Amino acid sequence: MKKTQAPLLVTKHLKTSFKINDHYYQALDDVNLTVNPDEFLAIVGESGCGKSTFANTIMGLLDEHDSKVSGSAVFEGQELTKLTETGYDEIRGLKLSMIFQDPLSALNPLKRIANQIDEVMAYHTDLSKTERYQRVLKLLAEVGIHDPKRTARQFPHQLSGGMRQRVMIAMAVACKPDLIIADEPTTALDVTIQAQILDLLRRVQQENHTSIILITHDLGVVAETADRVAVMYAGQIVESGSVQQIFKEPQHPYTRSLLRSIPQIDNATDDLYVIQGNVPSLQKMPAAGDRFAPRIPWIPASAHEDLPVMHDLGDGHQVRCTCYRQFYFKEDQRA
Amino acid sequence: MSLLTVKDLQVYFPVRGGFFNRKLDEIQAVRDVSFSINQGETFGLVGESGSGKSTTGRAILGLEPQTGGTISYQGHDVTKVAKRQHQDFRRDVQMIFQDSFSSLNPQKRIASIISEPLRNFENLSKNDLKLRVLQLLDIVGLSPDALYKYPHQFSGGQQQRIGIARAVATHPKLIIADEPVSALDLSVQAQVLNFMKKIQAEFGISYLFISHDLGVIRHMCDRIAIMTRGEIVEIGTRSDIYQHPIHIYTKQLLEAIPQTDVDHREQHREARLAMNQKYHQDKHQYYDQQGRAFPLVQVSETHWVSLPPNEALRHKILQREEH
Repeated sequence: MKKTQAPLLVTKHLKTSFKINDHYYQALDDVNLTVNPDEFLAIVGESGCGKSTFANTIMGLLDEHDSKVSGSAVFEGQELTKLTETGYDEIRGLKLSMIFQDPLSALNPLKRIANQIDEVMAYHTDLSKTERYQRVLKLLAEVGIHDPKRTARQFPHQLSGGMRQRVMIAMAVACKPDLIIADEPTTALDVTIQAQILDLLRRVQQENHTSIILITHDLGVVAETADRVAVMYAGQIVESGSVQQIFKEPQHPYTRSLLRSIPQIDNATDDLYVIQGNVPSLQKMPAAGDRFAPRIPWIPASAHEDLPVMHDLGDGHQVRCTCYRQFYFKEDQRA
Repeated sequence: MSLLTVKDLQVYFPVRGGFFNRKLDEIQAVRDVSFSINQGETFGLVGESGSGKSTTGRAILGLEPQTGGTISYQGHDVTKVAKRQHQDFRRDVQMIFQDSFSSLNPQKRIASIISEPLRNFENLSKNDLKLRVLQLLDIVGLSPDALYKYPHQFSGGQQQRIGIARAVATHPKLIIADEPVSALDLSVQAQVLNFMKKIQAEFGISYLFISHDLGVIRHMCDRIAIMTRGEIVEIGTRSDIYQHPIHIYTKQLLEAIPQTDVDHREQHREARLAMNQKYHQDKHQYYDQQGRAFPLVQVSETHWVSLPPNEALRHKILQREEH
């Protein structure tokens, strides 16, 4: 652990809205997040909670015509929300890079692997062609590809899913960026390959002193890799803290419910815990009140805040709304 | 007596090309797979992608042409498709697919989707049919106004429940569930798994549960078969597989599951890496010269493992297990 340094990325009241039928709907609401140098942060949540929208907002990948971003996101002193496309060109790949869920559609099917990795370096560095090729081979070896020379000549379709994801990682770390956002990097992979890719990410993070934001829906993956965790629900962060705090002393009702619905050894024969109701859709997102409240109807309305904000519990553990103080599982009360 | 017995099932896919599109080679997707499913039990088939687990499930239903082996249902041979009509096989064995949305006809309303198997197999009046569909909707927890909606108007979890309602419509005895929850979120997954258990208790259904998710398999299955490269390497009860795995592939697979125990993360990682190393060191002992798994050997009443015919080697592996 390093001493306290200036944080790498700070978002304040970050909001992203999408235009649907001439109406703007908020997909991301009031996201306050700090990423420190050399940190492995996981953002966890179910589909539609806004975790990928967060990644796309930070990377500047949203279409300006049908989305609107407000609030601030400062990355190394640069305000990302005001950055132009040319401004982004200077930092994407060099300081900030991304790993996508589906490497096959993220890689160019018509270019050889070597040329694809080379592209980032050709743009951002002054290395000569041969130097860059040497670096490509070195990168491929670093990400655990056994025959870098052969892989460098191949096309994406000739590689397996795990190999493609390794190539994506090689591409992302080519210029030693300060922050890598990995959006569900292992979702399409088998468990044994998943373990290898997570080890690789962890190693890359430690060796290059890069920070990683890992976006995933898999709590097991989070528990195995992350230093800090942010749990998202319906466009908001509902709880954030260290991996120990989130898994051992979860506070927010949503975090506690999610952890309870994982199939585990000790509940092998019982019914799994089910969260009542559904995630609100983008169009029907309530303007005020706790968004999780309709799913825990046995908790009195007075327990919730009208405009829920994050409460600090100390040691970096934060939780949204006051309802966590009165929350209990309905099943536990009966017993 | 077992409900369904699969013996030496083979599914080979031809690789065609060249002049006249001749058969050049074949891919052996499923090689000599044998297992049986008992009345009312959930039998899990686990493996990584490309292991042939889905092909096995599909071949049982006749969705993939089988190359060899026999399938018998309630003691009758149903390997030949013509014999299936006779044994009510088509009515008694149903399937739930992974991608529920693409398995539901987007142009038809829910009423017509769920009633289709009933119209095929039972002679019901229009009114009775509607009543039955309403009953089925109630079982899977959907409201009656779902009847006249289209599949796209439902969420992923609801679509999967519609698929389940359709599968249980004819009171089947066996449901083949191919990755039924892998496209669903954790909380919705819990809901669907609970439903599947509930209807099993109610109707005494057996499941062939195909999944790559070892956590879900442990939760759902009574007996489990581990598949890799088209072959089964280990079959046993839940505790056989999870507490006393013997085959190196099973061990390696179990070690790779991410754990939510944040305190022992490093130990777990080291154990996994050690297992990985051992896997690469020892795996040749578990496969023959051609890279095929050895025949299954019974090691306890319920536990079968693919072990080498060489007595000394076999003994060594079992000894290692006891430590």
